[in-house]
Amino acid sequence: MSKHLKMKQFSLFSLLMFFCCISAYAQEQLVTVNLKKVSLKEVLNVIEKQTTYRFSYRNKVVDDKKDISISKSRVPVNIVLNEALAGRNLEYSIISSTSIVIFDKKKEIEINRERKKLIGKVQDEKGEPVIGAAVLVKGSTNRTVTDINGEFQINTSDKDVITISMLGYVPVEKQANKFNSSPIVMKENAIMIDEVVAIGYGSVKKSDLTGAVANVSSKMLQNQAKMNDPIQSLQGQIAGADITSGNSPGASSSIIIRGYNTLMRSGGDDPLIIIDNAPFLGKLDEINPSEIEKIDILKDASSTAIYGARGANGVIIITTKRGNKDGKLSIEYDGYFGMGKCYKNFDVMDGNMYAAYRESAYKNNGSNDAFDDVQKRVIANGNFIDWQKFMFNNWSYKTNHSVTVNTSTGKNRNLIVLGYNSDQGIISNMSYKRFTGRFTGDIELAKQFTLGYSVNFAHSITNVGDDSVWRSGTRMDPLSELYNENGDLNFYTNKWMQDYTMPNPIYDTRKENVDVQNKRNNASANLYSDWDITKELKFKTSLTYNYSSTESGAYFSPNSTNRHLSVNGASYNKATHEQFNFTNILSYVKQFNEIHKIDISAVQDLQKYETNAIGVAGFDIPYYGKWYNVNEAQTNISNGSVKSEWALLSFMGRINYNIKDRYLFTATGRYDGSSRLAKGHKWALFPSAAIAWRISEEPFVKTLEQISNLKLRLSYGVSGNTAVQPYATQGQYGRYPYTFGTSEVAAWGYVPSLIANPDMGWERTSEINLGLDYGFFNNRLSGSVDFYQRDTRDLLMQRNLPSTSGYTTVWENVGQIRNKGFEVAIQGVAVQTKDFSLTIKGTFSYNKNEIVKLFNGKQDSPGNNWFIGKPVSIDRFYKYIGVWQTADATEAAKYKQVVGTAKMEDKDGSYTYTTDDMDIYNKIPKWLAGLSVSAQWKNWDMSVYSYGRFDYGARMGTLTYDQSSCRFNQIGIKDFWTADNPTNVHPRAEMVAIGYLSGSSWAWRDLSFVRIKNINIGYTLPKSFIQKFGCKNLRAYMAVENPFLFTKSDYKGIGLDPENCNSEASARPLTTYMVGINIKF
Amino acid sequence: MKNKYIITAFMIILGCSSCSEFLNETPYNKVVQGNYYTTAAGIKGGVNGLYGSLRDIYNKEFFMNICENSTDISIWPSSAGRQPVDATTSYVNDMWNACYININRCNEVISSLENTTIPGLDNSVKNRYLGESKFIRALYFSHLVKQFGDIPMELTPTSGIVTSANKVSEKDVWEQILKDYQFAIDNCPESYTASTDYGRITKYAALHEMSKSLLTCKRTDSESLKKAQECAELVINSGKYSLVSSTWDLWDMNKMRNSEIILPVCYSKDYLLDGGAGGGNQSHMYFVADYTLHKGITRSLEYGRPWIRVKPTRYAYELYLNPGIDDIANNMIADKRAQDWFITNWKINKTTDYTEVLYNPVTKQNETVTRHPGDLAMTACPWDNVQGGAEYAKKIWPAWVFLPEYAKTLVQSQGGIQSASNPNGVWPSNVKFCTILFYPYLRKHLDPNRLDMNVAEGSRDAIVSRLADTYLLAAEAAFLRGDNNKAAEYINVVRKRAERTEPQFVDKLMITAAQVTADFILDERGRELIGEMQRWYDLKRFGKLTERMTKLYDKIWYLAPAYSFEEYMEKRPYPRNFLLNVSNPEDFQNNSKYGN
Repeated sequence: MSKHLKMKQFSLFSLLMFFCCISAYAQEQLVTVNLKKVSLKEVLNVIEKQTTYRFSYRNKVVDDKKDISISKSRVPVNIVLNEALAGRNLEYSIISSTSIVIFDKKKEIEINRERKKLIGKVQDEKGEPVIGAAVLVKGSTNRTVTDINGEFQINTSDKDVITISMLGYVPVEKQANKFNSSPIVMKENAIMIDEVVAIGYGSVKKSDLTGAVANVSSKMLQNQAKMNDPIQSLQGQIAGADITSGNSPGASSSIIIRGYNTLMRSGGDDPLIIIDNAPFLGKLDEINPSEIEKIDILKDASSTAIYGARGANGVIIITTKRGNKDGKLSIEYDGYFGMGKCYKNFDVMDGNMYAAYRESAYKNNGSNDAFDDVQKRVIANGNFIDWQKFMFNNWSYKTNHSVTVNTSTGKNRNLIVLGYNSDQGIISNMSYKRFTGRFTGDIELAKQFTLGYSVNFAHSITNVGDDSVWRSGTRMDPLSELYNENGDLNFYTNKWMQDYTMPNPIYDTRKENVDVQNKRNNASANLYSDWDITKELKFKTSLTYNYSSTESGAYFSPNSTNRHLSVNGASYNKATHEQFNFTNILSYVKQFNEIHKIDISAVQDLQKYETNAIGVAGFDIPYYGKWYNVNEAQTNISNGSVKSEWALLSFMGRINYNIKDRYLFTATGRYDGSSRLAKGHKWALFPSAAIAWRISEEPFVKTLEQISNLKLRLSYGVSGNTAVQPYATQGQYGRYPYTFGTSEVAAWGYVPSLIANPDMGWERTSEINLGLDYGFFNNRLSGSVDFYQRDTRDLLMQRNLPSTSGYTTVWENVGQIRNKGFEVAIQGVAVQTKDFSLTIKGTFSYNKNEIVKLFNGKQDSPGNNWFIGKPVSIDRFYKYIGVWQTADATEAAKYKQVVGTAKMEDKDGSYTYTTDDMDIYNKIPKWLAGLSVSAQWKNWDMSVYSYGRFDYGARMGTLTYDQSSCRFNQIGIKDFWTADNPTNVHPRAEMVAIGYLSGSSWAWRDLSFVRIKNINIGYTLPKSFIQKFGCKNLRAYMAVENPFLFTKSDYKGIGLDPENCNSEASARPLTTYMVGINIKF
Repeated sequence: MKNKYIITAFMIILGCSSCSEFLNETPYNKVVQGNYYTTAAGIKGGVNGLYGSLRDIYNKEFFMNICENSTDISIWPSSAGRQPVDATTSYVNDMWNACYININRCNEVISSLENTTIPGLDNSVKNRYLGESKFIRALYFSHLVKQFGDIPMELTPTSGIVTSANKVSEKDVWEQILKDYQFAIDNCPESYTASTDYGRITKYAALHEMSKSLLTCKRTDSESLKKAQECAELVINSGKYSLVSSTWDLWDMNKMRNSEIILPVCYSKDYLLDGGAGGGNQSHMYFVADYTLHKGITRSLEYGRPWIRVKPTRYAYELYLNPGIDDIANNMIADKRAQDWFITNWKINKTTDYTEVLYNPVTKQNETVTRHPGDLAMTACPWDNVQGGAEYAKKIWPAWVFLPEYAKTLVQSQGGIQSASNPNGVWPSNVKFCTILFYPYLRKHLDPNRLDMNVAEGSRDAIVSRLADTYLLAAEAAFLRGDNNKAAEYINVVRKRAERTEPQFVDKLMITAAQVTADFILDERGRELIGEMQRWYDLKRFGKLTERMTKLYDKIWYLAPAYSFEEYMEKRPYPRNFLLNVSNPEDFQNNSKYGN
């Protein structure tokens, strides 16, 4: 056996070792020997008989001398071997539970004697030896591998650079003279080229992938942020995915992949989420992140085409954890507790300034009577109310507990994940609670037949409260008195607020006044079977039933703003959604010879969805009641029910063809029928094709040490979208009640409310993608670059109509949108030493969104704010150019304006403001970036992750609510026009809102920002210590969420959150501090 | 392998046999277009729906804004009124949309009635349905044509996606309106069973609208004027309607379905039949001023929920004055409408006593006065002739008396208001002045039958036409035909009811033929129909919109923020929202001062 062969053996074995995560078996298998004067071969035979080990050696090294006598009872194999080999110049290595290699020590040393000998030891992060790692003197063919103890010897000179690499680990590079006695630590590599990637109705090795697929494993996320839902944790991690999340307890994230490619107003851009073979029905926050093994994101159309009908917005495949095969019981607990606080109050006027503003508003309207008695009193005594302090300065509390139990008998594997999550917002009647359970099992009934199930249940309760408190708590008049002389809360805090019927918002923060609860249950059951009919031919069938129900109850007491001293009111609505999925996959994989490999799948898929809803509402519940007492209401104000259904039927096929592991071809075709489309337009074919070239496997590249992976991909595909409301092709009548007669006889009427479009068909998205995967220096630097152009045609949209047609909107297939861009993902191990490592991962993407075509080809649709050549989401404003100053009085009058009011640019000088005077402002971020840094120092680890969105903006809803009027306090006004202060910054104070301000660029802000989303610091207790308690792993951590924010415009200065500030009623952003523990037995 | 065949067979079955049926759509829960209006029950639902759709307009806030605000008698009290109408004005857009969406619904029903055989539908019922539907369509068109002039006029239901609009001349629209009203006159019954069908369109409702339409579109055509008068007289002499004898009772919520109403838009106290929360007739709030400025008065059902959207102008108040006849000192205006139709007295309605320090005009010193629940807290004496007002104020001292703000000069010239530092003022210390937020306000729309004071959903019927209006239409037609005697006769019927019954006032409001002028009729319509969403149309019909809005400038805009009226404003602009969505906006160019 040559050395070369041995090496090959070693690397093969080490591969196996890595996947099995087994380090030492010798202690586990005991032998009893009672031998006298026997040869080594006989000793080995005895051991082979008693254990699973089989020895391999060259006959030459094992002599026939009968000189060994050993007598041992029930001892580990290594004790016997050590004794048997003691007198010989031989060494052994236990490779696995079935294999021990015996080799000649002397021989190796002799070969390498000519040079200076370097001896080293390689360990992983946990201190276990890394066996079989390749050790190489850079620029030479001089190489070796580490042995069973992780040790190696290699001949070098001082100036040589040694590289140590091992699959699954980040490679290490070091100059020979820098080696010392301490071991070299290799860090596990998160990006593995041979990882298996889900591609929809199947999976491939990452190296065989032809499309643009990004993936994230739970391992990568577990030390980072502690998130409510799994998508939120991807923020900044996936190039080309724009993820935003709300601030309120239980808010789900939303994700847009590669830009907006539909004109549908809501939901049309949501990617398809697949969990355990079936489309997910619930809300994202109903998935406990602890249940997830990995997330694959299919981005380009060749990848998503296999999902045809629903793939146009990208597909997210979530694979949940399954039971391990190792036949052991393990229990893992992960829990944290956190407290959060508003990081900054909005910059509203203080009491004195508001008083001046108000006085000025009255003066401008010819009145000197600006203040009521309460306001006068507050101005005199200076006890201004800082509403935000009263309402938003509480702490929020969140906690999460998750237990994972893995039991297995090898052929019968079960995994249970139980979770509890709770989030109490800073407003007492806003909170969130979630219980989740996932039970999965895989049963190997026969060698070729596996049956599996996954049952999931999620129960969540969201107390929604009344969103208007965010606005009221910001905008209320500071010249207020909160309490009356008896110390009770005033319902109106001054006369002025009473005039405008704005009650004290503090009432709305209390559960006895506002109790709005959404209760959701989501249960799904998936049953699958895998049948290996032959070695090549496999059949998989999967059946999923998903049931989800939403119950919303609302109760408002007379003291709530909603009921406003009127009788109390309550409503109760319940909706159920059911989805049935039946998927059959027949696949055939065949390696013909060393060169050709073919993988064919045929899939049939069927989906049916049904929703039912019912609701009642009433006023005047005769006692203190909640929404569940709505049946007691004395006035029934509404009742209703809904039922709708849709179905999708699909047939598809896919061929993967692989030549020499270098040239990869994929072709897919999917034929989809949707019930929601018009007769004759229901069916469509979605084809795709892709090729990939693994350059790094070419002989001329393989020799280049620096390049470890290089793959060029090119793909084209078509996918579709049918996400219109059911029955849109049929038109609808709305119910109009009426009463006739002095005895009020009910007269139910039905008149047209939605127009039918009998020609409605598929929206189709085609995409071309050119990508490059790269890995250098043994994948120490790796990543991918993708360029794409995505065109969506026959857009389904609810287009505005002139109302003279009798309708204001219609569903129609119109026009074309283009998204063009590129994505870069890069990951590098910057520092790698024994005690310290630093990994940096960055993503970066650019997307240009543009409407290419609309109705009749080239016609803009100003009513929808859609313009050819502009993004789908824009605002149109007059340009704010200052304030009409005293000298401009005559000019201002021509615009029917008076001095002190806002001045807008009149481009055509027509003295009227028409749409021609408006500019277009982009609302979609053009650039997205994410950066995460993780570091490890001894037992400490730290990760920081951040993301940013750039080059976009929005009209701030928070700034335009009742803009300019003194009716409410205003945000961000530091300087306003008065006769004595002729500023151009902000127009004069008014008594009522001025429409021109919200219709002008005045409230527009560039929203570009970078946010440090999360910093997490953890400490893993030493193994030696925790093993005493039977514990396998124990990590304690602390984290801070939302610590820093960097922005471009002034809105941060005035306290706004760039992600959630477009609505004046959105929850405050919080900075949350958390401590947690992760423990595994 | 047996299983293999079973599975293959299964897939084939799934794949083929079920495709076509599996993807069929059954709208379980929706009424979809198609054959719904082809049954007797379906078409009945269609006609009901057209009545229901009337609530989209009567009396929505946009409807009040576009028909009542701002005119010579009603304005926005706050500075919002400073903004004149332009293409972006939302209430103009709302009116446009509401009318057109409902016109198409009328067309659907009319087309089904005309073009399909509906089994089980009696021919007379069919014609009645047609009459009702055409009447409602004509009503919408008449609003549009009066507001906008030349407009698109589709008479068939929209099918498919229509993005263009054809402008039709004002004249052609009127011809169609007259045709539709005539059809309703010919096919709608004279009356219905009140208990089950009150609120349906009668022949007389159509005659009333016909009369008004003729007076609008054929004002110079003697034949048409004759017909207009005849139509109105047919209503007056039908014996089906009579004026409610008491001006107070006319607006009593509990007597709202009275003998004077020709066509109401019905509302209900049952939320389910009233459009649920946010539905109902909400006009009860628009007119109410903020009376809670008095600490002894709290918001109540009786006085209404103050939204302060409409304020009567100084000119409106003056319309009710009859110099030499009114008895200001006793707070008696000869025209009862002034005090019956406006809230002018407010009582202490808190449960506790109200105290304040006031300068007593008799003892001539400051005194603490206490008012008990139920006592008069304040009263408005808002009419320009405040001579004698001082006497009246003394008489009811210490209740507050509100004078119009413009009386300040007069009060100043008479030594001002009494106080410890000004003991010689003619005016006692309880005299106050109205503001833009507080003034005597209209009672016509108040709805004390709501669940409580803050409930927005009212159940008062909106009034499309009532007999007093018919009398004035008859008078207008007679006047235009030169028959001033007849005109005076009809006007006096209305005025007679308005007259106070105390002997000193009897017959004092009666006018002679010589007094009848266009302006008088217009003023009388103002007095009678203020707040009933008629004023803009009345002023336009008389050709006096621009004239009055400019000549009466000071009396309209007193106190309130003003804008100057120009003649182009007589026609509303096509809404920008429409111009942005229609494919031929070039056909609908607005006056450049409106912008597009």
